[in-house]
Amino acid sequence: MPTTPHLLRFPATLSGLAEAARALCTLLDDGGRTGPGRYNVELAFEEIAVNIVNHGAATGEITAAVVLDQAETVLTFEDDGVPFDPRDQPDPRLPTSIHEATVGGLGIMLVRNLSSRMSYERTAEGRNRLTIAIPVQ
Amino acid sequence: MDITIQPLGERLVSVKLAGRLDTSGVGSVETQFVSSLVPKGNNAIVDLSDVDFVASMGIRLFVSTARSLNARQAKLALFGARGGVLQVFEMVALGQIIPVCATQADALAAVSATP
Repeated sequence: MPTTPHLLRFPATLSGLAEAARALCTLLDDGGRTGPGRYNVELAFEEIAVNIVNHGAATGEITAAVVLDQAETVLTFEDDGVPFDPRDQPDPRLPTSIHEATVGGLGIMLVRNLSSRMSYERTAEGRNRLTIAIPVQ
Repeated sequence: MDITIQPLGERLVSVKLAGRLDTSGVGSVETQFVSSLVPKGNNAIVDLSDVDFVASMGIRLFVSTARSLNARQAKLALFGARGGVLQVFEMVALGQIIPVCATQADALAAVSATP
């Protein structure tokens, strides 16, 4: 049976993100989420939200709906920033030495690796809607 | 996010980080972390045993600092990472570019080794 989503709303700022991350932790605590699955939810939340804050040029609030299902946690982000489908981003080439190390693009790669599915749409209202499912185990 | 910096010897510094290395955590320690290591070209061992979360922003801090140190013939080694933190390091193959060690002794050996 699908669970009711918990809705987090926060301004597209780093302090808004920090507060929302704390609220997410409380939700995950209350839902009894622990271990690697729990870590991956926090990580996906952080990486997607910081991307919207730093690069999305969103003017309104970001919303993140959190659904704690039995087998997975589903995060659905919505924002009014520039259209951005993270599924289109190529993974960065991982460096083999410090000389060629670059520091961009890792966040999206992490989310891709830890999620079981990602879907994206640009809504009729001109908002990005990104859904990410993360297995509980 | 807490940071404790301790000189261990000639051009060798121990850094202990504690808390969450997410965007706000990195923001709160970045200036102190970089300024205590990079200008003097100090070798550094970084204790992560009390870090319970790292995101890509934390990886960026370590990689960019290690690069700056490398330009000054100094090194950085991480040790004590566990759980999800270690898993993230593995996902981005961080060990390919920065020594990711189990113990403080291993990290000391890694920064002392000649390239």
